[in-house]
Amino acid sequence: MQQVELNRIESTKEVGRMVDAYMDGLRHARENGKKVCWAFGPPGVPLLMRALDVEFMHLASWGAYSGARQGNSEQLREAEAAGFLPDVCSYNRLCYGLPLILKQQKPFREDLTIPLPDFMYGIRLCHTHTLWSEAVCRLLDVPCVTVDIPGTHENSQFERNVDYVEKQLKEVTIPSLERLAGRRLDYDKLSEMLDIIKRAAIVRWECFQFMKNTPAPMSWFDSVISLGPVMSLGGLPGTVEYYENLKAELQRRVDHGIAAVPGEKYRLYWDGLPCWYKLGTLARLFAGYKAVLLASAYTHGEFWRHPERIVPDKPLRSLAEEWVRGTRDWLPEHRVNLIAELVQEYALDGLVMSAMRTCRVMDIGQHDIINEIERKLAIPGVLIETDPADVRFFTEAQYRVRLEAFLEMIDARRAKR
Amino acid sequence: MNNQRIQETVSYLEAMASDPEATLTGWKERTQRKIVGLLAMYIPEEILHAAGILPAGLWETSEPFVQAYEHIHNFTCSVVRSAVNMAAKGQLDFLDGIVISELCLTLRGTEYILRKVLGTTPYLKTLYLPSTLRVPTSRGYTIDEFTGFKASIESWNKSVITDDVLSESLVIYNRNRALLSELFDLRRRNPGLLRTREMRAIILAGVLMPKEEHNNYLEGLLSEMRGANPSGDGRMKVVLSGYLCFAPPTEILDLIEDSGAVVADDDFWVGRRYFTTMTEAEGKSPIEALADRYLNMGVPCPTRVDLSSDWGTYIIDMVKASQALGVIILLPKYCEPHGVYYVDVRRRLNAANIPHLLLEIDHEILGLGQMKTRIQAFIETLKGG
Repeated sequence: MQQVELNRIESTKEVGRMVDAYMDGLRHARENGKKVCWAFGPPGVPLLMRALDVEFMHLASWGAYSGARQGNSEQLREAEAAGFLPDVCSYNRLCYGLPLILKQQKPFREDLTIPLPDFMYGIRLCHTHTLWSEAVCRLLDVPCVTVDIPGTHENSQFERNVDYVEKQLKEVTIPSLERLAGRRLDYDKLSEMLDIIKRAAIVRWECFQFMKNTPAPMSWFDSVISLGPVMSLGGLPGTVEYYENLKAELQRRVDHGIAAVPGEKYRLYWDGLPCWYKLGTLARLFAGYKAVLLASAYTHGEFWRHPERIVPDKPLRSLAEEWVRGTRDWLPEHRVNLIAELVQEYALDGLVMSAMRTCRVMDIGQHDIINEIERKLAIPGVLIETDPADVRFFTEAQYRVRLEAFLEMIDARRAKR
Repeated sequence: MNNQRIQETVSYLEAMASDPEATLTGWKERTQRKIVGLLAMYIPEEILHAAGILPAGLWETSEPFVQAYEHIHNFTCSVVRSAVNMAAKGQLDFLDGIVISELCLTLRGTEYILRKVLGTTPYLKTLYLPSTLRVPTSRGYTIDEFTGFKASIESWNKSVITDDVLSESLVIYNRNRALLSELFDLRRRNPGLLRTREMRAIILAGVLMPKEEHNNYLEGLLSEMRGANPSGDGRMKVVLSGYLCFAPPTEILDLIEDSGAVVADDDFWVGRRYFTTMTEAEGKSPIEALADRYLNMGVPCPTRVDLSSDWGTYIIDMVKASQALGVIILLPKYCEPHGVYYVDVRRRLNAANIPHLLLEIDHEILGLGQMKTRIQAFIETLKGG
């Protein structure tokens, strides 16, 4: 391993400021006379909450927020004391331990303290989202609204599944949310925010194009941190500007030959969710090998993969289509095609497949995806065990050993060519 | 009560259940008809039955998993690991098709793996069953999904499934459920009437043969068992709960019953969960009836979302109805839905002061001795109760 040289993006500091402002709003919800929802699901959920003037915690973002602050252990321990087995999704355990601690009013870190919800909202991008929503409902005795998203195995079923999700939104979800929020959903505001997210996502994709450069000016770690403005901060003022600033910074880097990883030697794909509690560690670890992660099904398959398809005047249809598509594109039979595209577009040398110990949303099929990509594109893959929220399932030493061996394999293949 | 006739029938069904591959291949050779394997729960078998196809519940292989790990992680539930292992070894090649119900993330990704492994299997389909049960939109989608499934089978099988024929299948399956229900009620009144491994085999055999034949065996058994007087078994009465998607290992069931407990009831998939809900066909099409059966399932399911029902309360009611002293929960290792719901079940059992024990069961049962100690200790606490 060589000396670590890593050029982190400066613009990402703005995400922290924006998140702090949003969390401040959440923490003062009740003083401001607002209801609180805890929501689990795909991008777009925050838009519905904002259009209902409800403060919310988007629990996928909680994994990032708490993980980045090294705050997971206590919540996980609390969940396990209640009976959760460590094999259960760590996001699930995290987001069950949190209400347990808060409900019992146990001493807890102030920076991780948020108001308990008035109701729950779970959208089944991942099955666990709805299981967890129901579990917390039972714990806190609060209402729960869920949305079903079928897995679209055959593309011929896509429109039918979008119809189904849209129908749920119109006939069940939104009427239920309106009752719980005590107000009608502001469709004009929803359309406005969807327009903002569309523009933000388009610029976000323009930023991704820079990562096709050799050397790449930004790594996947910075693009993961840059998710906030199309996720929990989606639809807010300043989010389009965030990506415009990022794009300008990337242009400057390209103009001055500044690489994310100076001496870039390996360009890689990441499968699975980020290890939020180890982002910095992993960024330095990869950089130490002159390896730059560039693309993932997480950043490139989820989060408005086709923003040009968003129709702000048809907000429910647009959300339904995004949710069905996002769910579909993570199924292994579709994700393998996405990966093949990313390998070619970003000139990738290999696949780093996170075998997530407790998150099953992408685990199933990873072995055969590696084989299929190898067969089609002669690009190798490696499985390395990690976990999105449970640090006990991440071993830096093991990670290094597996990654080193993998990079040596890439070297050997290059030598043969 | 003719014990010999009962034992002969039970032994015969146990033999069938203990070697599903032999049972099914033998049936196929005799009848030259198609067999479609079912992976996981709530697949509307009646549709396959009406097409003249045998719906066969996919069994758990008795062999260690080896080939599976070329395709799937070892931290995956054993039901799916088993299916992948058997597929990779060619042990499912005799099946004409496999239908998967997408009840969890693991099942959602399974079709891709099986396609890679099986390649030329004629029929492979994943059914999406709406997870939120009691909302109006779920009914429409379920009816649509079952209608599409029926059309897909018709196209593949090159035959039409009429409503009349499908209705007949509904009647046969309802009869099966009624007979199994009677058997379980008999066992509840008379724990020890049959060992749990025998109850397991009776139900398992039923997903390895046409339901009409199974009904005959059940009617034969029940005719011998009806009128048996409750014989006051002195052992500690327990109920068993959990074990989704497949049947628990007989070693564990034997351990429980050889440790001083007698099982009065269970809500396993290969148990009450399989047969509790009848199909109400009055005034609706058979497909609508099947959809309603699914949506109104009588045993709360941890893979589904339904705040109008409560699994903990269901188990407590099962305890009361059988006058059991405690609950032993069998949780297949890495089953996430069960792992999530278990926490609430545990909370409710604690609040109701009902003793309970959790056993995590994996394909390779390591630490059988330790498990035996835990079971024995639990039963001792019931005695002290």
